Amino acid sequence: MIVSGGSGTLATLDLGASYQGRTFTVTSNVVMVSATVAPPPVVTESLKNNTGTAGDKLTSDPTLTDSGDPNAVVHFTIDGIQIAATTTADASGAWTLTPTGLGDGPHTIVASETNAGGTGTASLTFTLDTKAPTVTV
Amino acid sequence: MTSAFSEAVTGFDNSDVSVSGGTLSAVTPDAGDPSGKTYKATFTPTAGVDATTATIQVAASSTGTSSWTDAAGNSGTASNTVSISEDTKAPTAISIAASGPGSPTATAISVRAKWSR
Repeated sequence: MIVSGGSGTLATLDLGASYQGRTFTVTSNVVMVSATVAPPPVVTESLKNNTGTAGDKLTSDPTLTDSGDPNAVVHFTIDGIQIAATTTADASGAWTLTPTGLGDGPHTIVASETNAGGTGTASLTFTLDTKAPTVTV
Repeated sequence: MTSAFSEAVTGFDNSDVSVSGGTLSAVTPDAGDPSGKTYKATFTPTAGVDATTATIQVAASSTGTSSWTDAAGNSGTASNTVSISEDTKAPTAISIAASGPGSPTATAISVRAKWSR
């Protein structure tokens, strides 16, 4: 029986030939299984340079940054589509990505990392505006 | 003067406008446009001049004292230039003379006036 995390249902329990023919009384239907498993990565994601008004997630610079597991490979989806480009976190877990080919408008970029404990993700939605304003008098 | 921007801007004021041939009142957002894309100011031509062309232009951000941007921080680009031929000089009469036949029975005399311009 293998239970990886959480709880599972025990279907059969083989106690070996020496116990065959004996009568057992089931006194508990709970089996505690403990194992040491690393937690999934905790990934965070933010704009490296939120131009204009800080914190409004309206920016002319789409560079993303933040943290996760040290030396982990970070994968991304942009607006729901997996991109080929990845980045690798440094020894402190910090990573940076400059998305290319991003058009002006709203975008949601999900960063993910996977370790033995599972996958951790972070999602950031921001609006890119690289267009200079014009004026007529 | 009315300035119509392509999107809402921040930091737009008189230091962003190049004016010659007159003065501009304080630039203020146009209350009639809640989008924040329109600003207004009143241009007053220099008094007592003629044959002068006044110009008004919103300067590109980062040129001179100009520093306006959109909400994302993109620098603004220069506007068109409005040219105004101004004439604020009043004409003056520099001479006036009457001439006639000199006869006391004359019914008409000629008056000749000359203005400065």
